Amino acid sequence: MNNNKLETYRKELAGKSGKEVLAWTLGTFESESIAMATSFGAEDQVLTHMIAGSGYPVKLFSLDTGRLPEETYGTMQNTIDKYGISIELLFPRKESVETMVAKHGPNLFYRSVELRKECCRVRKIESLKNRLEGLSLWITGLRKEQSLTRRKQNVIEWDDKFGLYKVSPLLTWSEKDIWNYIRTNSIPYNTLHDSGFPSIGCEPCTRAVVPGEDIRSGRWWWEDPKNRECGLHEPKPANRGE
Amino acid sequence: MELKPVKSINLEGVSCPMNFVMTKVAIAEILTGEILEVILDEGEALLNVPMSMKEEGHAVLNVKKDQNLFHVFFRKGED
Ligand code: SF4
Repeated sequence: MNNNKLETYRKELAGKSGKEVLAWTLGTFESESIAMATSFGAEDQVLTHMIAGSGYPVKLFSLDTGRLPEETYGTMQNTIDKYGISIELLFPRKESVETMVAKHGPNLFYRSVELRKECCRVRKIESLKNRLEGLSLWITGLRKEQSLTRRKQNVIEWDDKFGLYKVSPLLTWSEKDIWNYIRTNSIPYNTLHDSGFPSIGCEPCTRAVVPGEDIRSGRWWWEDPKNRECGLHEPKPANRGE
Repeated sequence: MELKPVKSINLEGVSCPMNFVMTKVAIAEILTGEILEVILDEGEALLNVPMSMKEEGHAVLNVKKDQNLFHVFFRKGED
């Protein structure tokens, strides 16, 4: 990665709105070299609307861990139908899942942070890594408000783990901004949000939260808050422990 | 992908919704399947104009940045 380039990009993007950041990204990078990862959460639906609605040929993909809630598949189907797009579903390697489950059981994630991370690695990270290989940039729906570990993120980062740029156009949006946009544009969303799930991942690792609770507190709630990332969006080492 | 527009319009400094109106006028002058190039400033128009064009049945093929301007390519849909 070229540090000067990152600095130039950051300057170009300073003070830009979510739509402007996305437009800049689509214009600056070849469409074949970028992709968006969606988990069909509220933020991802906003981005999908902006991308699919504007018709730019950006690939959308999602990680099907095999443990997703039924409601997420419903959102997936509604999104595909509404925008007339295809969304690539990435499945984990069969052999890796079989070996892991044979060794530690299907619900290993509740037993230790290490086993939870191992499950995320097998079910998400491996396929994500393969998918991102060869790309220059990926688009994500991260927001600063979502967790302690996301507060120091910039709208464009060099993602060391996967070796490409990561752009988060909605980084500074509030939860209210997201929902206003969803309602104004009649965007399909995961109905679990209506039952108090602000952040939706795998079914066994997600629960509803009460109003006022931290947004990510419904994910891996049995763990210490500073561990609550799945390895897709890990903070840089200097940010750790904040 | 090599894109060969049959028409190109420069909308530098033209804001919403005028930029969309002018894009619509320009695409009306070409044939189904032909390509229109629209040059836009950076900003939300880069998403808004394609969104409106898509709703009108045209395809958005690509966008390329050149200095501070963006070249968006549309393929005209059926009339
Ligand atoms: S979120 Fe839970 S079930 Fe999903 S991959 Fe991670 S540990 Fe496994």
